[in-house]
Parts: sequence; C-alpha cells; structure tokens
Amino acid sequence: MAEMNDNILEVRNLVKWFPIKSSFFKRTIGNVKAVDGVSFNIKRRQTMGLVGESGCGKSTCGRTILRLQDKTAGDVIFDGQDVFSLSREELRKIRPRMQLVFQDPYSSLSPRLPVGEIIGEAVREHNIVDPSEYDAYISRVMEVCGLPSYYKERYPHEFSGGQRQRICIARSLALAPDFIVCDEPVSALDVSIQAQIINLLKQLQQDFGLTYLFISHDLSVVEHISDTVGVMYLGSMVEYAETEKIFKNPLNPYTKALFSAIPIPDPDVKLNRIILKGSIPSPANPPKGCKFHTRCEQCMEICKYAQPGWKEVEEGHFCACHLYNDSEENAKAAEIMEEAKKAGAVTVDQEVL
Amino acid sequence: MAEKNKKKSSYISGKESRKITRFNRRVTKKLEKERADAGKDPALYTVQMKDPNNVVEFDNVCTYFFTDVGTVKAVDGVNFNIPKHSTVGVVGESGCGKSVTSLSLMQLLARPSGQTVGGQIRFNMGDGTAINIVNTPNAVMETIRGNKISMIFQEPMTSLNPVFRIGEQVDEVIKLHNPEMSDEDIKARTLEMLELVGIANKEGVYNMYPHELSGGMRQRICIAIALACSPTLIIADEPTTALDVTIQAQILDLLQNLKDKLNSSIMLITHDLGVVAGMADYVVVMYAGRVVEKGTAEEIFHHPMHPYTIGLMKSKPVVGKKVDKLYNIPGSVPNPVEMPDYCYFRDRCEMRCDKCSGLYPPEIRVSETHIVSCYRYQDEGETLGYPKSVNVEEL
Amino acid sequence: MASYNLNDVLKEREKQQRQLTAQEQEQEMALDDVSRVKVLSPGRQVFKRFIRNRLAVFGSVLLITMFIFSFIGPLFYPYGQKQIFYTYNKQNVNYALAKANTTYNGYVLDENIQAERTVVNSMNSNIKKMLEQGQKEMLIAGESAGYRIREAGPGIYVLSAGSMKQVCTTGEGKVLIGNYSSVGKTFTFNGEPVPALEEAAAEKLKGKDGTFTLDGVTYSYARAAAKSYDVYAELSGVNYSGASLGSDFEKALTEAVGNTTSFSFGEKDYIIRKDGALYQVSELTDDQDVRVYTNYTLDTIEQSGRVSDAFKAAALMAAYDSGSFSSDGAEYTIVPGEGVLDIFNAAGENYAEFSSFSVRRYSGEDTMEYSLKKAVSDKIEEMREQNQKTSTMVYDLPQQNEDGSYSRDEDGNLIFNETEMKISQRDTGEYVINCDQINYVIDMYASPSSKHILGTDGDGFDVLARIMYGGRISLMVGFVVVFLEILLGVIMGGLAGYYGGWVDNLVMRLVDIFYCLPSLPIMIILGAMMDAMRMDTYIRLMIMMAALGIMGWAGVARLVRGQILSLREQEFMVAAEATGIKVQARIFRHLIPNVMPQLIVTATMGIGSVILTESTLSFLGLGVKHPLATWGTIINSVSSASAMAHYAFIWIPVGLLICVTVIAFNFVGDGLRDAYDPKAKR
Repeated sequence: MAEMNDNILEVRNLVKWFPIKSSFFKRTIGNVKAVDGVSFNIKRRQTMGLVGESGCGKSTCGRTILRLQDKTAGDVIFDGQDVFSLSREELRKIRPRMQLVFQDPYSSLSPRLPVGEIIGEAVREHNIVDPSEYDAYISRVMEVCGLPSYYKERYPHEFSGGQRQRICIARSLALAPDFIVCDEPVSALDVSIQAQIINLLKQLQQDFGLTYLFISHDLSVVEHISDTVGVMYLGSMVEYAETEKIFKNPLNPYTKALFSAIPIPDPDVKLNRIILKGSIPSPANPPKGCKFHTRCEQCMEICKYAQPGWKEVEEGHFCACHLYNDSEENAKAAEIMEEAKKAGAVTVDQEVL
Repeated sequence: MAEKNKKKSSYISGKESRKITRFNRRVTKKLEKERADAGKDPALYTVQMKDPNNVVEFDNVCTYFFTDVGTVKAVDGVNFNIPKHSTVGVVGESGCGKSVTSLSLMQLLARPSGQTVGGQIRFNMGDGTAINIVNTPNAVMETIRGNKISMIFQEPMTSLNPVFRIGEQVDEVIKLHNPEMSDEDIKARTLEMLELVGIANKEGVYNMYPHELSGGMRQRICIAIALACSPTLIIADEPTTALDVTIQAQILDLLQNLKDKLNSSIMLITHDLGVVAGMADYVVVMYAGRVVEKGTAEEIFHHPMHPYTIGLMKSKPVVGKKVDKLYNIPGSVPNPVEMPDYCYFRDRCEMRCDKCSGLYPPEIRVSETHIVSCYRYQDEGETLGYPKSVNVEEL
Repeated sequence: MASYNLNDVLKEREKQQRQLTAQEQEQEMALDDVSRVKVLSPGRQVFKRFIRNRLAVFGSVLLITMFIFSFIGPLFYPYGQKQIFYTYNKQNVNYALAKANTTYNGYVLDENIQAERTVVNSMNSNIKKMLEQGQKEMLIAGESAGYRIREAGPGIYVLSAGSMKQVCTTGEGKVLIGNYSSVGKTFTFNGEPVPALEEAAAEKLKGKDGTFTLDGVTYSYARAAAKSYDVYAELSGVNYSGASLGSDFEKALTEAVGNTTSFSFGEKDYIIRKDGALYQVSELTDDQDVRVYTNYTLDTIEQSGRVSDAFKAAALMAAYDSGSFSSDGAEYTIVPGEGVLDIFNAAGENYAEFSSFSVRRYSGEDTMEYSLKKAVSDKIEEMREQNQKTSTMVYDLPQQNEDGSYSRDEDGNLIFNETEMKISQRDTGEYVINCDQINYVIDMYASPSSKHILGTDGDGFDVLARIMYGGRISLMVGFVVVFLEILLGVIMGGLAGYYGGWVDNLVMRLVDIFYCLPSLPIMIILGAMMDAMRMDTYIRLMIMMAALGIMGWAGVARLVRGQILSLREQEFMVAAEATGIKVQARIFRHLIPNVMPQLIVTATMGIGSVILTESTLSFLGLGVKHPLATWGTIINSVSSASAMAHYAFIWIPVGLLICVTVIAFNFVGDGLRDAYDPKAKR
C-alpha cells in the first residue's frame, strides 16, 4: 500500500553549502559543505532518526528542510508541495504544519515573554483557534505537554531544562503540526528527564499522528524512538535503513564504529570497541574519494579516490561504501582511481594523531 | 483562586529577600573569619586518615551556597572514600551536587557565597600525614592543586588558554610544581606526557595553538596537563560529555589505559551511567546533595537497590533492548533549598512506603562495600547512621 | 491548515480524562521546584545586584538628590532664574553744586515779538557792560530793529524791542547811492529807479571814474562793469534823512558819536550805528518788552511745584513794580528782600523764592528740595562769614535708583538716609556738595550671604536659583537628546541588524559618516547661524537638542545592530521564524525587549556625556543663550579670566555639580550594566 503520498517529506539530493568569504574582498574562497547531497523520505506518522557526530550536517539538514535557510541545490517536498518554490506568504501559511524543537531549551525561549505568550503567540498569528477559545486552548495544549496551566504567566527563567523543553514542545504542538524536526531535543537534559521527554514525544505522535525527523547523536535514544535511521558523516548520508535492520546489522564501517562506541551501562560488558582514529575532518575541505577513508579501518585503495555510490545493499537498507560494490562498480571506481592517479592527485593525508 | 496564589508565591517578597541578604552577609562574614583563623596553625588542619589506603575521605561534608533565594545545600552530609589506585565514579543528574563535591575537594568554590560549613575532607599526603582540606589555607592548597590533585574539565574548548602554545601550557604546569627542573628536562617531560596521552605528532603539537586542534585532541592535552605532575588523585569532571561518541570512546579508552599505567586514583564525575560502568571500580550515586547509594560497580549495576538508581538505569534506553515505553521518573531533581526532612526522592518514588514520610533514611550497609539510603533495606543490613546536616541558623 | 483539528482532539481527550479523573489525578509533587522553591523576580534580581554595587547606589542617591534639587527645589526656593536683584550701594558722588549766579537767564514776555538771535546771545555781556558802567538803560541796534535794555530792579533787566527810524548820518565818507546803467540810461538804487539823478548821471558819467557835483553834493562814480557805474555821494557833517532837528541835536549827537552807541535828545532815544566811516543815527520808537533777564533762580518751596517760564517772567516783572501778578489764574505777590525775592500765593504762604545764589544737582537738574537748598545756602553763608573753604553738614537724603528716580518703600514713601555732606569751595568760587549717596543698584557679583547662598552673578541673578533652573534644562537636554539618540539608533540599528545585507551596509556607512562628522565645528556653525537669525532661546534649545540627537545616534545604532545580530542567531528567533511570526512582531516583541537592558545602560551613560556636551556648548555661547539658565551658561557668565579668579563662588558649585552629575550617571550606568549582565559579576 506504499503510495507516493504516503511520504510526508521527500528530500532529494539536498545540498547546503555555506560560502567562506575572504575577509577583505568578500569573495567566496571556498564552501563549507555542510549538507552535500542527502536524499531520504519520511512516511507519515513515522519517525526518522538522523544520527552522526557534531559537524556532520544533521542540524543544518533539519533547518534547511524547514527552509529556515536557503538551499544550495536539491528539492524538499513537504506533503506534495515544493518547500523552496513557495512564496513568502505561502511559506508563512505552511509554517505551522512543520515545526522545530531545539536542543537548547534555554536559548530557544524568548526570555522576556511569559510562557503563555510564547506558546500562544503564533496561535493567534495563524488563527489556529477561535479567539473565544484561545485561553482554554493554550491551557489544553499545556496540559497535554505536562505543564500545569498556571505556568502561563511565568517566565522561562523560572523553569528547569525539562520543563522548558516541554514548553518548546507545547509551542510547536499548539500550531497543530504534521511534521516536527526534533533537533537533539534531549541531549541537553538529564537522563530521567530525557525519558520523560522521549515518552512525551512518543505519546504525542501516537495521539496526534505526528511525523518526526529526530536528529540526535545519541544512538540509544534514536534506536528507541525511530522507525528508520539515517547515518550522516561529513554532510553525506552513509547508511539508511529501518531501525532494527541497521542496529542488528550495520553495514558501513563508520556506522559499525559509531555503534560500538556507545557506552553500555554494564561493567561486565567489556566491549569490543572499534576505536576510530582522529576526529571528523573539516567539512570545508572534505577528503577526496570516500569521505570516511581517513579514519576507516577497512580502507581500500579505491576509497581514497572514488566516492562510493548510494545503493540498496539489502531490501530497504541503503549504504554508501565500496565494500559492498559489485564487480561493475568496482571496475568503475578503479577507473576513476586510475584517472585521478594519472592526473597526479595527491590523497589528502589524514590528520595524524 | 488556587492558581492565583501559586503564581503570587513563586516570587520572593522584598521582606524575605532582605532577610535572606542580611542572613547571608552575617554568615559568610563569620565563616570567612573562621577560615582565616583556622589557616594560621598547621595543627588545626592536620588530621589522621581513618584508613591509610584511602586517598580522600569525605566525612559528612556539607557545602552550602548562600544565595539570594536562600541557602542552597548543594552538598549535605556526604560520606565516601576514594581508595588508592582506583576509580570512583560519582553519578547523578545535574543539580545533585556532584560537581560541588569535587570543587569542595579542590577548594575552588565561589567564595564567599559558597562555603564548606561542616565535615571533613581528609586528603592523604602520602607521607603518613593527612590534611583536612576544609580549613587548609590557600597557600597550602596551591601546592596541592595541580600537583597532588589535578582536574580535567568538561569543556576542552575553554580550559586551554588560546594565546599560548600547547607546549608552553604543559611546561608551565610542570615548572610550577617542579621549580628545580631545567628547561630541557621540562620539555622532555612535556613530550613524554604528550606521547602518553596518545599524541603521535608530539613535536608538532608542542608548537601548536589550541585552536589548531580538534576537541578530542584538546581533551588529550588537558589530560596531559592533569597528569604532568603525577598526581595522586585526578578529578575528571564530565570529561567526555562535550565530545562526540567516537571521540568519547577514544578518551575513555585512553583513560582506561592510563589508569593502569599511573599510580593515581580517579574521581570520575559523570551523568552517563554507561561511562561509569566502563571505567569505575566504585560508584557513588548522588541525589539532591546527598549520597543515596554507593558500592562497587558490580553491586551498583547488577544489584541496584535505591529506587533512584534503579529508575535512572531503567530510563536510559539501551541499544539492543527494545522497550515499548521508557520507564520515566516523574518530576525533576529538586533544587536543595529548604528541603523537608524526609527522603528527598519520596515524591518521585514508585516504591515509597509509610516510613518514607519520616526522617531522611539512614545509611544502610547491605554488604561490605554496598551502602544505600533507603528504608526498604533497613531489615537487610546494618544501619550506619543518619546524614548530619548543618543547621545554618545556628551559625 | 493542519490535517487535523487539534482543538477538537484536545477537547475529546479532556472529556475522556474527566471520566478518568479520580484515578488519574496525580498526587502533587511536594518537592516540585516550581511550586516549592521561590525565586527572585527578574526585576528584584536586577535590583539586588544593583544595590550590591556601592558606587551605583551612591550614584543613584546623587542623581535623586540632583533631580529633587533641580525639579522640586525651585518650587520652594523664593527666587526665579531671571529675577534681578538690587542692593543699596554707597557711592561717593558730587551731589550738588552751589554758586552765586552770574549768568542772566531770559524769560519771554511777549511771544509775538521775536528778539534777534544776536541780541539775545549778547544779553549777558550787555548786562555786564551796563553793570560795569552803572547804566540803567542801554540801547542796541539790531539788524532790523532797535532794542532797549533797562534795569527793572536789582538783577532784573528787561529787553524791549522797537522800530528804528533813520534820522541822519554823520561823519565823512561816501555812501553808495545807486547804480547807473548806460545801456538803458537808468539809475537805480537797490533796484528802485531814482529819476532825480538819471539825467545828471547820463550827462556826467564818463570814462572809468570821476566825480561830479549836483546841488552842492559831490558824487563820485566808478565803472563797476561794462556800461555800468556805481555812484557814491561824498558826505560830510550831519546829513538828515528828513527835516533838520537843530543845532542842539547836532551838538548832542557830536558828543555821543564815538563814545556811546545811544543818546537821548528831548524825549526821544537815538541809536548810533557805525557804518564804515559814517555813523548812522536812528530814532528808537514804540519799543515793547520782549524778555526779562535775571540772575535769580527760582526755587519752589514745595518739591513738586514746577513753575512755567511765564510764571517766572510775570513774577520778575512784578517784583519792583506792582508787587503782585497772576499766573494760570492764581494770584501771587512778590516781595523783594535782600538777595531774594519771595513769592507768596493768594493764601499768603511762601510759595517760591528767587535767589541769586543757586543750589542745583551736580548734573544741573533742579530736583533738590527746598529745605536742602536752603540748608546748603545757609551753610555756605556761614562758611563765607567764617571764611571757610570746606565744611560738612548732615542731611536726610532721599535714596535713589540707578536711573536717578527716587526709590520708595512698599507704601510708596520715599526712603531717606541720613547722609553726611561735604561742602567745599572750588577755586572758581563754586561750592561742591559731596556725599556718600546710598543708591539702589543691581546687585552684581554679590558674595555668598544668607540672602544669596551662592551669591549673585554679573546680571544680578541669584546663582543658586540659576543652578536649580539650569539643572532642569541641563537634565532635560540630557534626557531628550538621549531619547532622540536611542529612538534613531534603535530604528536604524534594528533595521541594519535585522535585515542585514545592503540595508546593513547602507546604515553602517551612514553610521561611519556620522562618526567622522566633527561635531564641535558643526555646532559652532549652527550656533553662529542661530545667532544670525536671532532665534528665540527656547527654539534654539530645541534645535540644539535635535542637532545633538542627530549627531549622537550612530553609537546607539552600532550597539543595537551588534546586539540584534547576535540575538538574531539565537534559537528563540529561529523558533519565532519557524512558527511563522511576522517580521515586525519578531523585531518588536522578541528582539527589542532583549536589547532594552543594554539600551538602558547606554542611555544612562549617554545622559552624562550629553550634559557635558551641552555645558561645553553653552559655555562657548553656542548652545542655550543667556538669560535662560543652564549649567553651561552659568559658567559662561564668568568666562573671563579675571571674573573666574574673583568670582569662584559662581562657577565652582556649578562645575562640581556637572562633575558630580556626570559621574553619578556613569556610576549608575556601570551598576545597571553589571546588574543586567550576570556574567560580568566580578
């Protein structure tokens, strides 16, 4: 029954580069390739987890999807509408349907507005409810998010992180959205509060049929909440599959390393960690070939020259890695490598530890 | 009507505020004076370790902050020991007092508002003597800090000075505590330390500035600085929280290896149970300024007893263990201001019983090393005693 | 819109929940921070941090004092800013001059007859001549009339004018009798044809000159122009114009010619005028009194009694005549005494007196009262008798204002001061009356006293009052200018910061331009322009405030832009954008309130510097103009070096006040900044 309109969001080859300007002439001297060709779909009422280390472009990806930044290339189709072809007014109209929850519950609430106003401002702006019901509506939304309605007149500084995050969620929920980008919503919170917020998000998804793009670096949380997971590295997606598949059988060496790095709260599990060397290279000057080759334990010669293709290795399990090339692809990659070698291309040596 | 009252009462009135300010001024003035007096005579701060195999003994430590909203009992009657050559993990959520415990040990509290008002922190000097850090004068503390106790901070970005080269910063620490060493020796020692923390290109890094290094590298430098003087105790305050998972794995791996090489003890402060599980020999679980449970890592992780520890473990999703709905502890960690005298966790506790409304539960020894503060285990072990809070009004 | 109606879903849930209420009702968390732990309200938190800063508290106290002083102080202070103060000032002055009158003043008797100017002007010398020669009477020939001066009494002379009828000429010489023109053969004298001589002239006149005789009279002629001759008669002896008056007359005439200018013969008076070598003798007839001359001066007994010249003239004429006269319908009698002429009115009261000894104010005005005059003349008389050169006397002098008018107390009565007067005789014989007169003058540069706590300035303004009123203007200027700066700065900086791109570029370049504008020269030019246009002080003030505001917004704009640039990146702004809130709501509801603390700090600091600028400008005379008080203009009033040195009590308090106010504003600004920014805490 998987029809096209089952996808609430389709991201096709999304590219977002931030130009680096020279300080004096303001000429573009390079680009930070924050998001460099990312494609995925999210089905209605599902949660997609987007994981990766800091600087891999997952937050930029989330914000570009919401058109809080302009894209460099690619398409974002939200519920059949191309987000980047909308006019300013149309965009403003569609805004309530696609919302954002931030990582930092401290800086994401305007410090000089009372909570009721923070939640209700946009509700009035978009006439979500009849003015006569406005007050009751805000109270109901707050109640759903676990906030007593008497908090309405208080200011954000009076609340703890968890409650602030609830306020953020209430602000988004009040606009009756279909799709929420959760940008690391729990990573700034304590463990016990994390669980509360995750449960709240799950509950809201159940009750209101929300769709989430859940951006996080915390794999255990992503595993818990997501239906599908995409792994990003240096602006590109390296692996994408249903949660169960990817956690049971990660294909990409990066994914493997990432998953093995998760600390397990059990002193007996002396794990067989894959310790990656070095740190993530600068997205302004990503390595040639496979971006991960500088840190990869299974790096081959072709990895240094040819970028691996994005392909379905198993059913519904996508991966970009030369390890899973068939012979045809290998030949193609080898060709590219030979050409590059002839041209005298020097491989970018990894940052030595 | 009830809503109105709640709103009204959320702010401190002017009268209360003035009263608090007056009280704070009086108390901090008195405490500062006492401190100054105590520092004059070494006999006043020289003590005897209860067990010479311990590096540090926290004995009913009370560290309070005299703030504008009242007295915050950030650490209130904390008892635990750090044995030699072992790693003690201090676990708790933000606001539970774990960082304040370490700051009390370093005597780096923001005085005059932050004061250790009671108890002893006995630090083993290694020569058979011990000092009580609580009233050790600053001059003595300066010889201990960085030398015998060193610290690794959460933010590797801000804990290095951006205008000095890496080498200079490491050199400086070594020179400070070893004034007799020659410049060549110091540099040799620095390079040795850099190698120790896994920096391959040590000569190159020696001449680099902090901004040229990634977060993981900087944290390695911080560790090198902390280890430079072979301290007997390293306090690692959330050393991996600001790092990515893959880098965190590197650093934890490094610390694990170093721990075996060095003769130091590590006090590892973190909120991440996973990190503690992999690193620590002993675990101390703190909640709202008090230790609720302590024991060896095995005891804590395999037989958690305090409902808070149990809840904490259940609320963290674990890779590979699929649950439909995460367990969550309702509410949040209370701010330790004007706490009532019953179990602080009672409100959030699923297993509360009638006893819980009584006094704050005593420490109950359920095994040689496992101590828990919960009435549920009163029958299973020996009751050690109730935590002693300092009555600030009497100060 | 969303694919579902959240409100309906929520209502549905609520209904379900209500059914479950009993079991679902969660127990309230007793240790829930939000309901248990009280926090400081944001305002109180800022306040607490603020009052912890001693300097800031000190600054606030100073500022409050300053405001009370400037805005409430004047309500209780009795003096205004433009109230001029006067004081009694003792000045040594030449008060009066006393002298025996030797000049004769004339009073007109008959307005219809005009005496010739030359005659009037020479009256004094003529009278003196009469006195020297003991003459009682003198005849003078004028151009067109004859005049007689006669003594009407001691010191009183009457000038009368009459017509002169030529009687004869005497002496030897020639007289032009006419002009002969040989063209028309006409003989004319002053244009009148003289037919008697025409024939003879036509016949006799030949050549250049010559003489001829006709009827015993010898004539001479000379050619004056071509065909024109002047004809003269050669005369000798007495030649009558009319009939001969006999030898007796001629004898009297001969006697008089050369000695006097007039003589009497029979009942008639004759005037002799010298005309070249000849004497012309005319008879004075029908003379009428024109003026009366006297060396007496009139002093009325009553101070207010002013009399007309006609009164004086009538009195003088009556003095040695009937003894009574009337003026303006009132009857008076005049009685000659020794050196004085007393005038009584109908009631018999002494009304006025003529005296030959005049006592007048040194300026010559007759404003002294009779009793003083009398006292002075008595004193001088005494001095004369004892042959003293100097003497003193005491008299109650009326107090005078600067302009010479008498000062009066509240009831309108004159104020008298007992004054010692020094009388001394000059070498010229006049007596000078010298005294310390107490004048009521503008109280300039008065030293601090109980009446004027900080003294008065060069215009007689009370300095303390001016400082109070000046504080109003100075503080007001500070507030208004800073308000303008903030307004412009927030708008421009807000636009630049929020929109960025070319708007930002444009605004920031504008800011750069305003930064490099030299404000002092511009203010000087503006001040000069306003001077030239003679602008009203209040309009000037407003223009100055506007100018200062326009010059000063750049800094605020830069600050606001910087703040907004950093705030714009904050997540709550992204959130506002993500929820689709309109741009202006984002700027005014989310951005500006967050810039407010910095703005308040900047404004507080800014007020201090604006007050300084205003004071500087006013001191240089470019800002607020005198007499409107500001702190700058008060200092400006002692801008010269000597004034600065001598009148330190004027500028030191104001200078201190400016210092203290600016410092206080800075303290408060610093305190506010620390209070608003918890990160800056120590």
